[in-house]
Amino acid sequence: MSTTEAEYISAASCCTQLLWMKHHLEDYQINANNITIYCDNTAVICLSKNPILHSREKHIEIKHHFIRDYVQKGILNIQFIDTEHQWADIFTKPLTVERFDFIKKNLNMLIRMDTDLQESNILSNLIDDFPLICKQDPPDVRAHYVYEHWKATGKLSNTVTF
Amino acid sequence: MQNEFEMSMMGELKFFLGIQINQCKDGVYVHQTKYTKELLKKFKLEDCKVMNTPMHPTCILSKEDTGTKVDQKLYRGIIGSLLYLSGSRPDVLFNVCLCARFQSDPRESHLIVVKRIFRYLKGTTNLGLLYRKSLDYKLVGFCDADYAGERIERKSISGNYQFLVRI
Repeated sequence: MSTTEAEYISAASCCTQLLWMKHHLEDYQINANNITIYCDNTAVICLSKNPILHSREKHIEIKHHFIRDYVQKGILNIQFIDTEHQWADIFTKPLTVERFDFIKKNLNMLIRMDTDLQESNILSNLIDDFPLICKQDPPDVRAHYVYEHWKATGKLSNTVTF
Repeated sequence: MQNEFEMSMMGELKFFLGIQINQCKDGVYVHQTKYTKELLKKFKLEDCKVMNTPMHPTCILSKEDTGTKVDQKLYRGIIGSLLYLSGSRPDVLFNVCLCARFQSDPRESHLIVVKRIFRYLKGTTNLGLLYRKSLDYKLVGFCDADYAGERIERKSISGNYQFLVRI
């Protein structure tokens, strides 16, 4: 057992999910070819590209090697990504605040927005590219959003001073 | 379709099984604010202090805990309710699943960790997922593994997620 094996198995399970999604998308006439898997282990990338069985990887179960078929067919494409930008980190270990917030942002996790622009909050217009705040929230909660946003970006439009 | 099945048009989808859906011009926004608030109320944790993360980075949970036993029904109930959040809250998914491993013999120390998730949720009730609108999509996967990350049996933890991203 090695880190490579652990990463390899995780890549294989990622592959199964992607193939399932690919078949799903085909039903909607969306053809997804050359799907990219980002992995933070170079050994895994080499393993998946090399169709020859090496003596040092004998212990990895054969069922995990099916990822190779798809790499060879050109359906999958495994690429390296540095650990900092490996967003799947959030699902493997508890993280520190900075890293946690960084990944959360990249997962498209945002605070609630309002759909009706006409009645929307004045506060959201004060700051550039600030997501609209829900009008149902009490004022102090809304003010909290603004404060958080300001803290995170350090950006405040010229029109308002706090 | 109306001839075949009994159905009626009720307008735009806004609320379904605890999941709130906002359809705006940027895309579809899915969140469970109401459900999260109800959870906090149900487990009487509305007045707890807010935390920045759902779990401490060096948190260690063990099965051989000699602490006082916790009502199993309550523990399982909490885990079950939190699991339903995973639809819109991938950030607490890992932590909930970690705590779910101790369901057979929950102790005080496990419950404290679970409560920390609630404290985190309290500070971020309005967090949700935004599915952005686009014409061109590309399927992308990310995979990662934590070698021997599980403290009890020294198993590895794998995590991966799939994205349909804009080109």
